Amino acid sequence: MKRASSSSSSSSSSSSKKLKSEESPSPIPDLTEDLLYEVLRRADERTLGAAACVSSRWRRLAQDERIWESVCLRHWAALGCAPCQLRSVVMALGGFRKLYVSYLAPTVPTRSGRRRRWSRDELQMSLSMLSVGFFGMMGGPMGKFPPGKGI
Amino acid sequence: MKREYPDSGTSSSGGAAPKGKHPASAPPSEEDVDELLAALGYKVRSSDMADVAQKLEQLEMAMEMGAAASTAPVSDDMAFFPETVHYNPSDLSTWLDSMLSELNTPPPPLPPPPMPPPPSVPSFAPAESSSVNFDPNPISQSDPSRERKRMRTGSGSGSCSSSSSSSLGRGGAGTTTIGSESIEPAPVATPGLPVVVVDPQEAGVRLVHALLACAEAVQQDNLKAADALVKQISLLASSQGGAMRKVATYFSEALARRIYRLRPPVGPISDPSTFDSFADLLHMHFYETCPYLKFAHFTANQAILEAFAGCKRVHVVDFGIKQGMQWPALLQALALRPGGPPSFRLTGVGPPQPDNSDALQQVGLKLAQFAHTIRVDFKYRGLVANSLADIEPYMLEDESGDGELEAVAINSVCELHGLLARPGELDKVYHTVQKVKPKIFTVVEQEANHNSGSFLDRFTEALHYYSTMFDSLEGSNGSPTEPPSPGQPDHVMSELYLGRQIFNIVACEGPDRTERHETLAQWRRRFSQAGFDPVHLGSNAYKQASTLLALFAGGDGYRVEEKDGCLTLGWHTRSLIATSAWRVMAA
Repeated sequence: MKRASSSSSSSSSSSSKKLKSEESPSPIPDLTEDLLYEVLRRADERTLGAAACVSSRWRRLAQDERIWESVCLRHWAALGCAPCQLRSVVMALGGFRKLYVSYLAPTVPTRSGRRRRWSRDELQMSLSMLSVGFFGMMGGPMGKFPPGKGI
Repeated sequence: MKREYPDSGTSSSGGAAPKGKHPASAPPSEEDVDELLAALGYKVRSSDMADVAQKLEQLEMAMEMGAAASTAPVSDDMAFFPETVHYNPSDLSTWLDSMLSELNTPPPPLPPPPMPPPPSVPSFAPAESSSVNFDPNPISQSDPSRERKRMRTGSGSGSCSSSSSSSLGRGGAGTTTIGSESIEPAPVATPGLPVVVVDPQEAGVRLVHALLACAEAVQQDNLKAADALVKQISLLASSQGGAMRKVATYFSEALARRIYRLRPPVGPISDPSTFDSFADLLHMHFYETCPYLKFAHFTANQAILEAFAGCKRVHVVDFGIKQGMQWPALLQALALRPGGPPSFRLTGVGPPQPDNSDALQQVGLKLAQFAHTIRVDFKYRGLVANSLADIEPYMLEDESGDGELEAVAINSVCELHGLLARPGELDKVYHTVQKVKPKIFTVVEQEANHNSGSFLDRFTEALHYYSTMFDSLEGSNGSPTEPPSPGQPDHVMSELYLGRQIFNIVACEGPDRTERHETLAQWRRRFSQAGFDPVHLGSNAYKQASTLLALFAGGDGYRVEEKDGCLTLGWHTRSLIATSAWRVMAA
C-alpha cells in the first residue's frame, strides 16, 4: 500500500518520477505527510501528475490545492490582486488544479521542460475561461452545457 | 445489393458489396469463380474471397489516409486518369493488389474504376478550389481536414449521392459543355449511366457564377430563369466539397425560398429573431466552436471593466442577454479587482418566449448563483421586450435610490442591426441611451454590408462574407485539445446558426429581414450623427483578444486588428466582426 522511498528525502527534483521505476529492495523509512507535502510542493507539474499515480495517499497530496496554487502563482508574472482574493475566487470556481489543467496547460507548448511565465493577459484569459466553464456546468435553463475541452 | 449498386456510386458502399456478400455467399466451392460476383462482372475466385475482402478494406483505409497526404496539383491528377483504363478491374484480386501497391507510394487515391467515378472524385484534387473566394487565398493548412471530410461525405450520405448521381444523369447529356476535363465513362461502368467528371476548380467558378446569375435573375423578377439556375446550382454544389458546398447549399436554398415565396419565415429554421430554445442551442454551439462571440464578449467586458474603474455601484444593461454567457467573466474580473468588487446590478433584455417560460428569470437566477459563489453583490432585473425600441429610460432606473449614483454600461452584441428593419427604431434606442447617460455603450456587430438596397449587392456581399465564415469554421479545430473532426455535430449546429442568417438576408424582405448588418464605418457614421463619441478600446482589450486567439490552436487564420480604437476579428484578410465602444457626447 504505502510506497515510500529514500530518494524522496534527497532533492526535491528527484521526487516521485524516479520512485516508480527504481524501487529499491531494501526497506525504506516511511515519510510523514508533512515531508511528502514539502517535497511535492516544489515539484513541477509533470512530476505532480506522475506522483498522483503512485498511490491513493500520494494522489491526495499531489492534488492538494495549495500545491497547485503555488504552481499557478509561480508562473504568473504579476498578480494584480491580493492573493487571498484570488484564492477565494478560484477555489469557488473549481480550484487551481482545474484552472491549470483545463486552461493554462494548453497554452504551454508541449514538451517544453522550461517553466515559462504567463503574462497577465493569459492569466486573465484563463480565469475568464474558468468562469465561463463553471457557469456552463451549473444547472440551469440549458442544463449542463460543458464548454469545449480546454476552452 | 445489386440494386443499390448503380445508385450509390460511392467507393465505400461499392467496397462493402463484396464484403457484405461474403458471409452470405456460397461456401467456398470447387468452382473457380464466385457466381454472384460474376453476375456483376467481377471474377473472383471463391477461395480468394476473404483475401479480396481484406484487401478492399485495406484499400479503403489507404484511400482515407492517402487523401490526407494528397497534395498533387490538378495537372498530375489528369495524368493519372488515363491510367485507370490499364487495369482490368474484373480480375478483382490482382487489381486490388496493384491498387494497394500503388497507394503505398503516395499518389492521389482513385476510387476503384469499376464503379462510375462518384462525384467525390474531383474532390481529390487539391483543396484550394473548394473555397472560391473573390481574393483567392489558398488555405493550405486546412487541406487535409477538408479532404478527409470529403472522403466521409462521399462515402456517408447515401441519399444525397443518389440524388446527385441522378442529376448527373441529366447533366450528363450536356456533358460536353462542362469542360475539357470530362472523361469517358470507365469501360466496365454499368451501361446507361453517363459519367461526368468535373474539374472542381472550374465547377467552383461556375458555381459562383450560377449563384450570382440566379440572384440577378431574382432581382429582375425573371423567376423561370432563376428556377432553372437554382437546379443547376445544386448540381454544381454537389461537385464541391467542404465549405463551398455548404455555403452554396444554404444560398441556393435561400434563393429557392425567395423564388417560391416561402416567406414570411415560419418556424425556428428561418427566423433568427425568435429566440426559442432551439435558437439558444444553436447560439451556444456557435459560441463554443469559434472565437467570434468569445472575442465579442471579452473585448466588450474589458471596455466595461475599464469604464467601471473606481465605481462602487455598477449597472450593466444587456440588450440581448440570451444565456448570459458574457457575464460570468466580467463578474469574476470585478471580483478580483484590487479593492474588491462593486455591487453589481444587471438588467437583461430579451424577447417574449413562445412557450411562455420565463427564460429571463432563469438566466438571472443562474447568474445570481454564480455571483454568490464568488461573493459579488448581485441584483438582477429581466425586461421582456419585443423590440429594443420599447425600452424606456425609466425601466432602467435604479429603484433602490441609495445615495451613491450607479455607473451604467450598456452592452449590445449583434442586437442593433435588427432595429434597422423598422424605421425609427434605432433612433428611439439612441434617444433612450442618451437619457440613461451610460459610462460606456459597447457595441458588437458583424462587419459586412448586408443592408444595401439592391438585392444583388446584398447577395454578393453575403456570399463573400459567409464563405469566409464557413471557411473559418472548416479551418479551425475548435479547441487545441480536440482533433479536427468536421463531422462533429458542433460544426453542423454552428453552420445552421449561420444558415439561418443567410436565409433571412436572402429570402426575406421588409420588416422580416432583420439581419441588416452594416459595416463599422457605417455604424460609426450613425453613432456620430446620433451624438456619441468613440471610446478607444485600450491595448488590454487587444492583448486579451490576441491571447484568446493563441488558445485557438487550430485557428491560424484568425486575425485581430485595431481600427481607430475599434477591434475587429477576421479570417485572413477579411474582418468578420467588430467591437466598438461609445459614450454620450459631452454637451
